[in-house]
Parts: sequence; C-alpha cells; structure tokens
Amino acid sequence: MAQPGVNTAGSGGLLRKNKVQKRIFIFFAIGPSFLGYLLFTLYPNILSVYYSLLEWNGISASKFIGLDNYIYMFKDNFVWTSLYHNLILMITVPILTIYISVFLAYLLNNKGYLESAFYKVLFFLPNVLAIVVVALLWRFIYDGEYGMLNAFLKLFGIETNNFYWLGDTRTALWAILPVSIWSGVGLYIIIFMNAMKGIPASLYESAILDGATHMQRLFKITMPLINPVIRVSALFLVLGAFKGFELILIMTNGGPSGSTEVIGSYMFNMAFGKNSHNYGYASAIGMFLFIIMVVAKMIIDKFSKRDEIEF
Amino acid sequence: MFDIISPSFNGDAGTIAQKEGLFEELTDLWDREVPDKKGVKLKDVVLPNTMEYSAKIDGKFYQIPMGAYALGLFYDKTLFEKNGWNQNPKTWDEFKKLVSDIKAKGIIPITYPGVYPDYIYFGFRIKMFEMAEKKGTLDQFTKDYRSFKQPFYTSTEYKEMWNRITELGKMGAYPDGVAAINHTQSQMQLLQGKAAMAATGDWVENEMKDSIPDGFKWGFMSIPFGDSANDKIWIENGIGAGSMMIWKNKPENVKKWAKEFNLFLMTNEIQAFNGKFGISPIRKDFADDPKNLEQLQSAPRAVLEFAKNNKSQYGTTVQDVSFSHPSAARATKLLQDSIIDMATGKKDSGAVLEEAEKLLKEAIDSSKK
Repeated sequence: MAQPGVNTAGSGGLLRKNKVQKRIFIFFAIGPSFLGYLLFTLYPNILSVYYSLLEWNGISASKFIGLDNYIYMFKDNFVWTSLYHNLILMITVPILTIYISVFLAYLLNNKGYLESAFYKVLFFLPNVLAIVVVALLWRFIYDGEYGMLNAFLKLFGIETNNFYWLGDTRTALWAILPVSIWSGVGLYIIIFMNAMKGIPASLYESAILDGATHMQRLFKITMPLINPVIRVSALFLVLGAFKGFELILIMTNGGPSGSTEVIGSYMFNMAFGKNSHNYGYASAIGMFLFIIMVVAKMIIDKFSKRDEIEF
Repeated sequence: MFDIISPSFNGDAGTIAQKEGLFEELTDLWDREVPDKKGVKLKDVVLPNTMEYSAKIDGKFYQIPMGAYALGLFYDKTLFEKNGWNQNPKTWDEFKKLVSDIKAKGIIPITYPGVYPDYIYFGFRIKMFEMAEKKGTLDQFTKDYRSFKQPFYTSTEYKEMWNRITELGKMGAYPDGVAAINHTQSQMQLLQGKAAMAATGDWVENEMKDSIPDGFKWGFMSIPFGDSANDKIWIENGIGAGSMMIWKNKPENVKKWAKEFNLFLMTNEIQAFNGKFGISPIRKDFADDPKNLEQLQSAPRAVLEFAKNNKSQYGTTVQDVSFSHPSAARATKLLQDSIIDMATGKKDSGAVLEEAEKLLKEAIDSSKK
C-alpha cells in the first residue's frame, strides 16, 4: 500500500532499474562461461550424436547409416573386452583411492604431526605433474632392466629376472592401478581434510572421553559426517575410470596384446588411429560411454547412503 | 590455410585427403628440367623405380618425393666387427646364422618398440615384394597390394612373411618383455650394445644424436629372403621425408610458384642440406659428387652403401585405398594386438590372418554398397 508522502512512481522506476542492472550483471557474470559451455561442450556433444549415425572418415563425404554403428558396436568384441578392463579399474581404483585418502587425511588432521605441511605437499605433488610425466615416471619404475620396482624387490631377495611389468598380459593392467591411485590420492586427501575440518572438535572430545579408539572415531564420527563428500568423490573417480585413457595411451598404448585397452583408448584409436579414421563409429562408442556413465551415476546415487547428519 | 604443407599424415589420412582432391596435381613436374642440371628431366634423375612405386592416386601425383626414408635393420658396425658377425648376409640361411651367432653371445638379435608392435614390419614388410618378384608375379602383386585386393592378409606373400618372422622369434630373435619397450628404449638397447639390430628407419641417427656413444658406427642391412647370393634384396623406402604438397584451393599464381619451389627442392644442394638432418636423398646422381655424400648422416649413408654393395631394389608399401568401415580398423587392431605373440609363435599366425581377412572382406563389401 502506498505510504502518504512517498513518491511511488519514483520507487517503481528504481525497482525497474535495479532489475535491469541485476539482469545485466547476471548476463555478464554467467554469459561468457555459458557461451563457452554451449560452444565447447554442448554443441560438440550434440554434433557427436549426429556423427554417430554416419560412416565418415572426417574428410570424404559422409554416408548416413542410421543405427548401423550401434548395431555393429554391440557385436564388436573389442568394445566388450575394453569395457571389462574399465570395470576392473572402476571397482579397484575408486575404492582404494578413497580408502587411502580418507585414512591419510584423518591422520594428517588428527595426529598433529609437526611435519604435516610437508606431507600435504608430498601427497599432492603427483596431482601437479602432467599426466605424461606421471606415465613416463612409472614406465621407468616398471622397466625390466633399470626399473626401480625390480631393484626394490631384489633388496628383499626376490629375483625378477628383469621382468617387464608392462610387457606381460598377466601384470600390465594391474600395474596401471598404483599409477592411477598414486596420481589421484593427493587431491582427495586435500578434499577430505577440508571436509574433516568442518567437524566440531567437541564430537571427538566426547568420543575420547567415552573411550573411543581412532578407528572408532574414524568410522563412527568422521566418515558418516563427510559422507556427502565421499559420495561425490566416488562419483568423480568412477566416471574417471570410464573416461580416462591418457595414462594407458602413454604407458602401454592398450597393449600388450590389448590387455590394457580401455573403452576411451579404443574410441580414440578408432577416430585418430594410424589406419582408422572412423569418426562415426568412434562417436557411437562415445555415446555408449555417455550412457554407461549416466547409469553409473544413477547406481551410485541409488545405493550410496544419502543420510546427512546434522551436528 | 597454408599454401604448401609438408605431409606428415597419420596413417592413411593423406590418401583420403588426396582422393578428395584437396591437393594440386604435380604429375607434370616429372617432365620438367631440374634447376641444377640443364636438359635433364626430374623423372630421369631420381632413384630407379621412384615413380613406379611412389604414392599416387589413380595414376596422379600429389607429392614429389624430396627425400626418402629407408626402413630396415640398423646396427653398430663396431659391435659387428668386434664379434666377427656377418654384416651383409646375402641369403635367408646366412641371416638365420647371423641371428644364432648374436643370440649365442647373449645379445638381443633384433629389437623393436613393442609398445607400437607394427614397427616389426619395418624389417619385413617389403619382403613380400621381394618374394613376389622372385615368383615372377611382382606387377600383379603390387597392383593387388596397393588396392587391398583379397586375399590380402592370407596371400601367399603375407603368410610367408609371418612364417619367417615367427621362425626368427622361435630362435629367440626378439627381446623379452618387448611389449613394454618404446622407441627410445629399443633404440637405446641398440646404442648400448644390448641389441645387435633395430628395426627402424634411417631417421634413427638424427633422433638419437645426443645419445650416440663414441665409437658407434651406423650400419644398415635389409633382411635377405632369397636362397641365393644373386637374389635381389629389397629395401623399403618411402616418401614423406620432406616433400611438399600444394593446396588446390589457392590462387593459380601461388600454385605456379609453389610448383617452382617444389622443383627447387629437388636440387642436389637441397638434397645435401636435408642429408645433414637425416633425410635420405632421392636423386640418383647425388653420390656423383663426393662432397654431397660427406654431408649425409651416417645412417642414411649406410643405406646407400648397402644398396651399392648388393643387388638391391627400393620399394614402397604405400596403399592407394582406405576404408572407413570399422571392420578394416578391427582387422588392423586384431593384427596389432597379436603381433607380439605371433612373432614368438605363442599364437598361430595363420588363424589370426584368416580372421583379419574376414574383417577386411566386411569392410570391402560395405564400401561396395
């Protein structure tokens, strides 16, 4: 209701001006990123859907083949073998990364080490290294003749006879695991440490008074309270296990004998390989991968605890 | 887009681009006079069979080989001299003896980067042409090979090539753990004397120039597949070590001068300049002036030396056809994934080649639709 003596026409104009200013601000704040998203994420993804319906080498005229690429893909044994390797990585890498990260984050947060800052830098260091550097470093560690791993085992009297860990189908994929975990743990330590810092000390004090051990405090207090962060981290790690292939491309190129081929590297080689330039088929594999990741996300959401405990 | 490009295509992408008419035709340059020799046409001054076996699409050239690269087995002459090994086996049996002698000394006979297993073909692929020539079917084989005509993977030549690769593998010719070895590692094995021969190209000296130990002398040999010392030994060479391609969609004046530039690149002065950086010359009169030879790096010079000392023939394994059907890519991948095991006899090469042939047939049938 208009107040006596108040110029309502003026305040209406001011309100309108505020609204316009707000809209202009939002436009300039969000606009560039949204434009970038449209140009570099949404548009290429929509185009990929179209490409997946083509037989196309990227240069010659394309041929519309409908769903033939998808029908072919389901009969392609290389796709299923690659996905099997992804499954192994998906089961092992996220679980081990989170387990190690939570454990180390808890220690660094609660044990009060003097050299805690040094440990944080040490654990985070792999995350600042380029993936090429990480891959080449571990290639050296796994080398048969000069590798650190063989030298280390020799210290304990285990003779490996210059075994090439990346050159045997029995060990190559398992050799990738430590690299993936090592290069990812640092980031999650930092994330979990920050999440743990938000837990009131009084909870731990009460628990200590009640005689709770470190393990009990970790599993009964810390982990339930940082569960949302763990859930999101698990999601990123699971999606990364499906999407990522750079490490494999550099370390093993999918070998030996395809034993480390993952869906990402297969798709990449299908599009940009030496004797393969099939963007259509690669796009179809990409779409399939997209669906797999959406399903993975839905499964994680369904089966992970959503209880958010307030304190 | 640039007026000219130095082609360094990934696999058959160059063939696809040329077929699509993206580049200017350069066939007429073969009949032009070379700038540094009056009255001499380009086609008469390049290495024998260059034109015949150069990459072309439907008989038309879109690149003129400014330089060549040679593939085969590179070795350290010093190591061979020290051990008294045969540096120039003339027959298949002599080569097998060489492999045994090397193995007996605890040294790897032939190394290659197993992370990219088709590098093994650098030592063997051209041998199919060598075998076809001996049978008297070279022309037909060349035509069929270039056009991917079936039987391709199960042709007599392809199967025999694999039989020989496996024969050497069963003798222990290849390194243990080869699947984990990349280019640098395999070439370092050669430089450090841990491996006697490396299946690679003549660019290896330029690539490893900062790591070559004192006393290392580059040698080259191509594996002889014949059973007589008089049999010709084929050397695989290829184009792409610096040729220039001209974009079609450019003003006529630009293309005219780009062609003149292309011709200029064929002078011996440029050949010698490129030779300093590991690019083998394509001019057959290059060696007429000893000063030219002095400028060549040792590895490409070793190739020329081998060609001079043997009844040899250069050839290329380029193909004029490519397929965009995924079955063709799967055939290649099947072979690539099986190379390590086939080479040592752990996997039956016959069965793998049969399966690859079926996949190729799917790709060919699809392209006909």
